[in-house]
Parts: sequence; C-alpha cells; structure tokens
Amino acid sequence: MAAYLFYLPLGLCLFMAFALLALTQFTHRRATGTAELSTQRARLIRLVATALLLFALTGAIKHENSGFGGLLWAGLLSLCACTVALLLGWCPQIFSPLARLMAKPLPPERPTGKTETTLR
Amino acid sequence: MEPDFRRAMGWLHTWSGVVLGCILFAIFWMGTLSVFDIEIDQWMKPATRLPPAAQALPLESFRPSLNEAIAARAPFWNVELPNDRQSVASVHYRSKSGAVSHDIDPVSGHVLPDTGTLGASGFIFPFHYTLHIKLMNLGEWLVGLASMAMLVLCVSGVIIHRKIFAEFFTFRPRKQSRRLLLDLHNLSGVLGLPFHIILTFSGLTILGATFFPTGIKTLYPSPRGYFYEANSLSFLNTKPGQPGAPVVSLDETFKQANALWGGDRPETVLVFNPGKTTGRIAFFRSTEQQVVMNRDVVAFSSTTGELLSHPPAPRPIIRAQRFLSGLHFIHFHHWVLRWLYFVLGLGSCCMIATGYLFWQESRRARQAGTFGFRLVEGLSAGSITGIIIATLAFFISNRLLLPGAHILGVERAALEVWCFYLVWLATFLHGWFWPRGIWVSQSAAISILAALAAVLNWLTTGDHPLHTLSHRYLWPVGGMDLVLLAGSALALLTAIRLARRKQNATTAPRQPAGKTT
Repeated sequence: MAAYLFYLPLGLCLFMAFALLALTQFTHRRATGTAELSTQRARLIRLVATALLLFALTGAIKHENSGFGGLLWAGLLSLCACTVALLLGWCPQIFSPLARLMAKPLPPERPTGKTETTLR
Repeated sequence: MEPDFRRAMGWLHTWSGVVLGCILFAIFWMGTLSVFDIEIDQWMKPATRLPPAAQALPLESFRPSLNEAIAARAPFWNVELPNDRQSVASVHYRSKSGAVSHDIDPVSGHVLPDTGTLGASGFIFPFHYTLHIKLMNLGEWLVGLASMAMLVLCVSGVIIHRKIFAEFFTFRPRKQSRRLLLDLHNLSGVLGLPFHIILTFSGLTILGATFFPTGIKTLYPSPRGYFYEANSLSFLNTKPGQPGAPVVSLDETFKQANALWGGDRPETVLVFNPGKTTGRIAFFRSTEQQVVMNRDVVAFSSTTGELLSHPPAPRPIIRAQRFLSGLHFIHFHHWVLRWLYFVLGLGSCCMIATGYLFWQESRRARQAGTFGFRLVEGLSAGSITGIIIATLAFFISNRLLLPGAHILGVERAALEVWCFYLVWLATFLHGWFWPRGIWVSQSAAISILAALAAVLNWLTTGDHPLHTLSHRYLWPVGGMDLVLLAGSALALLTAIRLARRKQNATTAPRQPAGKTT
C-alpha cells in the first residue's frame, strides 16, 4: 500500500503544473474571475509549470524505472490535463484561489549590503 | 498554414473517420476491455475464483494432462502458471478435434469444471485484432487499415485544429450540443494524443509481419525465421520425429532453468512435439516486472533433458520491437498503469464517439432525412452504444445460460458469442429503422443491462460486491461489478440528460429565422 502513496503526489504535481499552465490563459482567468496576467508573469509561471512537469518525470523514472516511469508519466500527463480541463469547464471557481495567488505581486527584493553602504 | 491544405486535411479527417469510425470504435472498445481480460475471465468463470496457493504446485503434477496431449498426438502442450493476476494454472494443447484448455486448481492440482465460455481472453481479446473475421485473414487486414487510418486521423486532426494551444484546456459543458461535442472530441483527441499514437503504432508493429512483409523478406530467408527470432523460439526449428519417446521430469529440467535465471520462476512451460524423439521442453521466464516483453526462454531436449538453447541478448531492433509489444500487450503487472491504460482507452472511445456525433449534429438540420445521414446515424448507434449493449449481453448470457447448455448442437461458449452478435445486429437495425430517440433508448438499455449483469453475478454465484471486496483474491470480480455499476449509473445519467435536452428542444418556442443568438 505504501508503494501506491507515491502516485498521489506525482498526480498532484502534474495536476498543479497543468492548472498553472491553464491559468496563464485569458479565457480561464476570466472564468475564475481574475485579471489577466502580465506577459512577464505568465512567462515565469509557464517556466515553473514546465519545471514541475520535468520534476514529475524525474521522480517517476527514479521511483520506478525508465520504462514504467516514462509510461506512468505520459499516462498521468493526459489524465491530469483532462481533469484540469473538465474542472475548469464545470466548476472553475475551485481554481480561483490559485489564480489570485498567481497574480499576487512578488515580495520586494531585500537591499543588499552594497546598496545599504551606498545609501549611507 | 495554407487554407486549401487545411481544407483538404479536414476532408480527409471527416471521411476517414466516418467510414472507418465503426471499426475503430470496435477495436478500441475491445482493446480497452482486454486490459482486464484475465479479471473478466475470473468473472465469467466462477470456478476459477480461488484463493492463491501458499506453495506452488510441482510441475510434475501437470503430468496427467501432458500424457493426455501425448495420447492425442498434440503438436504442443503448455501450462500457464499462477501469478498475482490469476490464482489458477491453465493447460492448453491442440488435439485433432480442436483446441483443449483446462483450468487447474492451484492447491490440489485437479482439473476445474469447465464453465463453457470463451471469456475475455478467448473472445474479447482476439476480437480486438482480428474482428473474428478469419476469411483470408480479412479481419487482421481491416484492423491494419483502420490503424493506419487512425494515425492519419491523429495527424490530420492536429493540422485542422485551428486553436490547438489556445483551446488546449477548453471544455464548455453549458454550450449547445454541437459545441460541447466538438470540445469533448478535441479534448480527448489532443490530451490523449500520445496514447492514441503510441498504442496505434505499436499495434501496427506487432502485426508488422502481416502488413509490411517486404522488410522481413529482405532480412530473413522465410517469415518463420523472423517469427523465431522475434519470439526467441529458434528451438522449434526441428523435424517432426518419431513417437513413443518419454518426456523427462519437468521439475528436474526446471531446476536447471531456475539456476540459469538466478532463482526466477517461469510464467509458461511449453512442451513441443510431446512424446516424440525431437521433443523440446521450454521455460519462458516471467517478464511481469518490466515493460519489455523480453522473452528469455531456456529450452531442453524432452527426451534427454539436455540444455539446447538459451538465446543471447536480442539485437537492438528486436529489443525495440519487444518494447513496443510490451507497451501494447501490458504483459507487466503494474496496477496503476493498468488502470491508466483502461481510462485512457475509454478516452479514445470517447474521442471516436464524439467525432461521429459531431458529424451528425453539424448535418442534422440540413440532411436529417437523407439516406446517407440515416445510414451513418444507424451505423454510429450500432457501433458506439450497440457494441456496448452487445458486450453486456455477452456477460449476461454467461450468467444466465446453464452449464453444459446447447441449442441445435451449438455449445454454450458459442451460444454466448451468438448472443453478442444477434444483439449487436439488433442495435444496428434499431438505429436504422427507429432513429428517433435512439441515443436515449440505447443509453437506458446500457444502464439496465450493466446493472443486471452485476446483480446476476450476485444471484448466480453469491459473490456480491461487499463479499468480493472484503477478500483480496476476489477483487477482480468486485472490480468488474463496480465498473458495471458505475457504467450503469453513468449511462442512466446520460439517458436522463439526453431525454431532458430533447424535451426542452421540442417544448421551447421557435425563434424567428435570422434572429438566432
């Protein structure tokens, strides 16, 4: 049973990656009641989603082997993408918190020692 | 992209889908069910629902069956040993009167009573790649043609999809039916594209010797040579031999194979030319822990017990072929992957069905009364909901026919198959002659028949879902019942929604022409 516990986080990781990708698109942001993202922010989020997809692939191959891991990743990829699409169609509001979080401004960068010295 | 090219691809996509869609749906539906063929076999053969043995039977306990095969002058005899998918062993050989198969109790070694069914591995799985048309190998050729068309459909579908990335996640369930069907078709097509392409391509590769014989003829002196190398069966290349030779101890020869494999068990034991001077005993190593169907076969002389062959590592091209075969056959034991294949297979069925329905919805207003439209409407009803109803009739007949039943000389197993074909034919006729409300009535029929199959399993065997789910060895039966019940609920929901939509369409006031929104 413990072996099966791996598949849940793997599926969640892929689901999250596709949810992020979908929520960079204007139609789905409108469905979730959030404003459109800036081009720069959308690009950053797509990068994070791609990293999540690759992380899931690495994890699957490491946990299983290249044969089973690759197949599992490819199969879950289709299933998770489909789940995201169906949920966006039937109840997009469940993605609203994530969509709002994606639009939040990043925390301001801490001033480095060098700049502090310059300011003094 | 050139609009003319896209239009040409659109034409190709539409018409290859309409013409071959019914065959494609049958192939994908039967393939999806074949993912759980052994589990369906357990459901259809109640005598095989046994707990696994604590200790494996010695191979010599199958000797009586082997002696029967020798007496029947069978060209081969084999035994499939129990594993974590099936707790019983099964022996097979071919006599003059036809193929003989017996299931063996894993504890006592006794032959189990024959249920008189082909089951999923004898009917559903062969249907997947032969359509059970044996005349001039026509079934395999039709499957090959449909598979090539499927690859064409996948590529042309991507080309004609105008907004493949913009509408990657688009599904609008509240839009009008035509839009909804197109969204579902695009969604299942695009998101399942890797699955559709890989499974279709690997299927073509498996039957490559039939469809593309030229490459094999160039490399091998005869197709048999390719068959031997691809399946590690070079030890079969022997003369017929003289009868009357003894077959050495299966357990003693197995010890040698076991030592070569470092303690691994075989999945199948084959005796070729049993009782003849040129007889062979071969042990096929279990490959359930890997995707590649790496046939590691150790062969011995059946008269002396001498080691004859242990094939070297396969060539890269054969290894690639075995990887694709393993990918398609799902020979491995990985439950998560098995369920993923099942769900994605249903996704492929959904894609083909929605493609058909979209074609009809987009033409219904203009061509509803024409012969062509009526033909496709009946064809699609028979090939989509019809084959599901026929499969359920196959299951129900399995639960209702008495053991040993025969009508007009037709045996029980054949009667089940007749039920399947007659019901299937009836659904086509229903689609052609009474098209009004066809989808509602056939969805309702699926709902009733699926629930009935699960209930009949309970009534005829006493294995209700609570009982089957509480015993690990009965999970395949419980799983089958749950899938039937879930399918029944889904079909009922579909029938209700379709009926409501139809009622709304007839009661809604007609809008004046030109003012559609």
